[in-house]
Amino acid sequence: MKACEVKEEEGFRVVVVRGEVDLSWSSEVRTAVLAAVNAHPAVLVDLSGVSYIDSSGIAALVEGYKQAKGQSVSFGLLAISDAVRAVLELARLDQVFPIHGDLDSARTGQ
Amino acid sequence: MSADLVDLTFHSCPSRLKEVRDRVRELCARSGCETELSRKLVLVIDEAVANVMRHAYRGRKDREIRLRIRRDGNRLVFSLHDYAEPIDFSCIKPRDLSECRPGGLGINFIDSVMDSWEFQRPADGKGNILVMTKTIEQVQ
Repeated sequence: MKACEVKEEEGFRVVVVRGEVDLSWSSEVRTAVLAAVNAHPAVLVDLSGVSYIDSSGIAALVEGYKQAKGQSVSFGLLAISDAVRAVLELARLDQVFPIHGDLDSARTGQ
Repeated sequence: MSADLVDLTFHSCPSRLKEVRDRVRELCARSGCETELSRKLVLVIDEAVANVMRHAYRGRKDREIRLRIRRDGNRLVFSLHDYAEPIDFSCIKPRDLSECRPGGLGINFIDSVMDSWEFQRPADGKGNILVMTKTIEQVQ
């Protein structure tokens, strides 16, 4: 089941994405990520429930990351699944995004 | 020429991508592809189809796309046919991945995963065909 929810957790705005992210709804993920970046100083995108992501989903994350950087907003990916990691590696973006295993490490790394 | 393992015609609507992925995933399992390769092939075919939807058909959702997959020895041969305006094949090439920017990753994925890929002009001149090949190692 695909879903994109936003919640507040321990000082972060967390965008929780679930399901298979593809061209059919990656624009919703993009909108949610950019809205979070525009509204909060610390944003995480929780990808633990993402079983598939294509380049349009990756593009939404890159846009969020770049916009956050421009606005001095803290931005990171949280608990990425193996499926997401494989695509990030293929795109050579696994070393670009701050990636945190859990909220504790996100807080420490902030 | 071997018979098609998959011959799927569908509309250029992004909601059809999941079905395409499921068919490729199923074919990979039947062909004995190991999990990592199967995952990459599913991604690459999804990207190729999404490129047709976004670029060749410019977001129009009611156009036809045909995906055929056949086995040629230890290779899988993927053929993706659209019926859009002929594209300038010379414009389609991988981009520099050291540049962090959104978009344009699909061709890089195709280029890095597939053994070969090329565009062909159909005999009747209508549309474009992307042919991709990949050697598979079967799981024992």
